[in-house]
Amino acid sequence: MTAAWNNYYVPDTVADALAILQRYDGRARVVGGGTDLLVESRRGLRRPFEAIVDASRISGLTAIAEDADYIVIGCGVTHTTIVNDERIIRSGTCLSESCGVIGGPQVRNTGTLAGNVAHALPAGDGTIGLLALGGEVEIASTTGTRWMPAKDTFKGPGHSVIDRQREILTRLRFKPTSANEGSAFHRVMRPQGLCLPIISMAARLQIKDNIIRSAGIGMGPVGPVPWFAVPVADALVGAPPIEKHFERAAEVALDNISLRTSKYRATEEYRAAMIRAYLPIILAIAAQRAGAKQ
Amino acid sequence: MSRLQMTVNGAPIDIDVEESRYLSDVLRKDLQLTGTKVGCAEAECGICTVLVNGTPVVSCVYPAFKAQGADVETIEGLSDGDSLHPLQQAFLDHGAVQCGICTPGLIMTAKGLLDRVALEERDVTEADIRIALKDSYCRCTGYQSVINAILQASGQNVPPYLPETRAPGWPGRKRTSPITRTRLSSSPSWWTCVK
Repeated sequence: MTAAWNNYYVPDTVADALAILQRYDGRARVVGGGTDLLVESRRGLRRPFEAIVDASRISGLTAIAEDADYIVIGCGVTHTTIVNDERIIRSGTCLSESCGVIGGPQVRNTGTLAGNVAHALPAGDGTIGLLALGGEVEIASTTGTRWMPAKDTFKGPGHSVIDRQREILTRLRFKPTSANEGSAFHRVMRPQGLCLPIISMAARLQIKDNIIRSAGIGMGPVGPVPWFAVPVADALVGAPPIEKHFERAAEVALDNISLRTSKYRATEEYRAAMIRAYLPIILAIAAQRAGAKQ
Repeated sequence: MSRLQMTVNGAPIDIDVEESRYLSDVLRKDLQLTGTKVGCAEAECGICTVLVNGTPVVSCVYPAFKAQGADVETIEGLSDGDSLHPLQQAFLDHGAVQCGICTPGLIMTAKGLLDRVALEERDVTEADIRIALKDSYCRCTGYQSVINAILQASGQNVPPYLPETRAPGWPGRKRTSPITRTRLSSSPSWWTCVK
């Protein structure tokens, strides 16, 4: 078996990591925990890389921090850390819930949210949770760093605007939910075996005077990229948080997506049925967490 | 080839290995620690679990050089000479071992859990165990004996689910003493019995 890579680097600083990427000029690849890429390499689904740059141990980027407006997650933070972080459980509940269903415990101990987002798979659970929260990502390259909304980074299944041969997703951030906001996530999946979701959905709602003031909805896999469901959010804003409107939101979602039948996971019809069944429930839980009256 | 330095079961290791190696390969092939088994080789089954800095990880997709400088624990590190680790003894007492291939992974996952709850200064619950073993597959035991064994190892008293604990009338045998490990060197080998 040919080696999947020749050199494995674990740089300590972003500058070092970028220097290695520059030296290899497109022949090196960035990984977080590596639990997606290295499985594919092991199966022989990837052509070999000359080098792997492991971004999980860059100093200063292995912890969760808080600044005035945001909760900031470094690219080395594992799913397990996110699941157990009190701040995220409290003010980014859907992210904590979504990271908690990725793989198994051992995979969550290694895998990172940054890797999940940069991999840009339409069914990435952590990505769906971050999307609903209106998350942003910081991308570092030799020309500087830039923040951009996570929803704008996806180009296609497994394709991101982040050039993973030359750039590094260094940090992720979102605005924590305030007192009149709540979020929730749920995924429908087979009980054991293939860990990919049949459908994953997350919602963030802000409710004031019993009216939904703002909404963020993430869904996948409902198309080539994780979907930041603007039409669903638009249908919710201005309406009271009641069952009738949550059910209408599910219909709006179905009007805007084209579901696919997957040989291993579920039929198009089943996925549609699950969206009708679960999106209203997720919205109701988010509304309850936002302090809405029942 | 590059220099890989780490601590394995308390002993410092300093070897030349190819940077393309996975941790399971280094443990099994370079260090001859074949107690760690590999099942699916794609991070699904949990059989290859070892502890890296106290955290359970699947070594089949864990690059060896990611463990540079780390403290690695494998199943070989548990028993202290002749005396078994409480987890190993509990697995024997509860019949939580059948074909045995998943056992090293189950025990290391359980050790990671028990060490963590000890740090949190609380007792392990059955729910903790079920969550920790979510992706550790065992086709033989049906898991309940594994869960009971881990509860037992944590100091909680759990009666073994063995034939004598079943309903009256079940043709089970009565055990008089707990199972202990027999060593080939100190007990008659099967072929001497045959002779």
